[in-house]
Amino acid sequence: MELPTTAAQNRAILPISEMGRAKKPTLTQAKKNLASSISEAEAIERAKQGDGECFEVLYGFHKRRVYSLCLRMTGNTAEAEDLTQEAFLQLYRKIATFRGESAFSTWLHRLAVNVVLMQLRKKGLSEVSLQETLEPQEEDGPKRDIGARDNVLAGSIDRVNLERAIESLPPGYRIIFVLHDVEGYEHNEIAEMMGCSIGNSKSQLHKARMKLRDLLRTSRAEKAAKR
Amino acid sequence: MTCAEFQSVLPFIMETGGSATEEEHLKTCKVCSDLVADLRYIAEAAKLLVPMKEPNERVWNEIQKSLEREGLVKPAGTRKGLPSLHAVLWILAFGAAVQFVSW
Repeated sequence: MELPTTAAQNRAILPISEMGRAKKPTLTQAKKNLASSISEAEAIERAKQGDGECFEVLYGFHKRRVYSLCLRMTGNTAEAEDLTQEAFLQLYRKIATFRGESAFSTWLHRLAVNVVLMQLRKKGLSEVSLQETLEPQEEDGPKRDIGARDNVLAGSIDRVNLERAIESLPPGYRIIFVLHDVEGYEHNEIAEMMGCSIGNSKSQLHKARMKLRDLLRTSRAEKAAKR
Repeated sequence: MTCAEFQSVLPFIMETGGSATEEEHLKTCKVCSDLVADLRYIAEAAKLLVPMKEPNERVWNEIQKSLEREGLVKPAGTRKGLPSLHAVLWILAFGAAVQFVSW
């Protein structure tokens, strides 16, 4: 079965050479040679025929992106590893259905998102988090004084701070924020995947950004106080 | 327009831009203009996040074990596939030797 094409993604995709560059050597020399001599398209075709080594090459190309997605969506290393494993197992089982109507990375990415969402549904997290956003919370209300205290965030936060703040978002906010702002999915795609309305997706995203702003400002204030 | 009114429609302003009234409020209110600047900055910064982390090696080991357990791939060393170049050369040499002897 061909997974639906997503309109987003391409901007966040690293070049294949970049994706395959491992910090620690994980492949034997022979496999490294295979990985450098074979194109992604060729590896896909051979993996479709059941070539395990070519599947490993594909894993090398895409593991970082799939793992990062799982980690950002769950905020938990062990869970992200399990989900990465499950995503690649599903890939192996379904790779014969890939017909090239979308980019392979897009197709795999969508498959990985579905694996994560399915897991979260099993845990009942999405229902809880969606409910969270339907009930107005004090922190979601307008804050008339917040901008008067400090300057804007621009230039004062780095990637590490942002990653940490995303990790500490409530699950429902985190998932929508990662899917929309980090991974580039549109609200209609998120609504379809999450089984919620487009309005709900928009509302959650806004609340996620507001919450992130609070987290980042608090973190900045704490750092300033320590100095 | 008050800050509360402006912020109640902020999700729509972020999506589609504001009306003339909303734009006017934004020009004159530092609280709301800082808020909008921050939300835009967060959205832009998120776009720049790239996959940085790599899974532990055990992830691939577990994948491989699962595939072997399910019989989707053969365990290492027992794979059937095309003969290696080394094996082909031996076969050719053996064939040539047989032909030479029979001749």
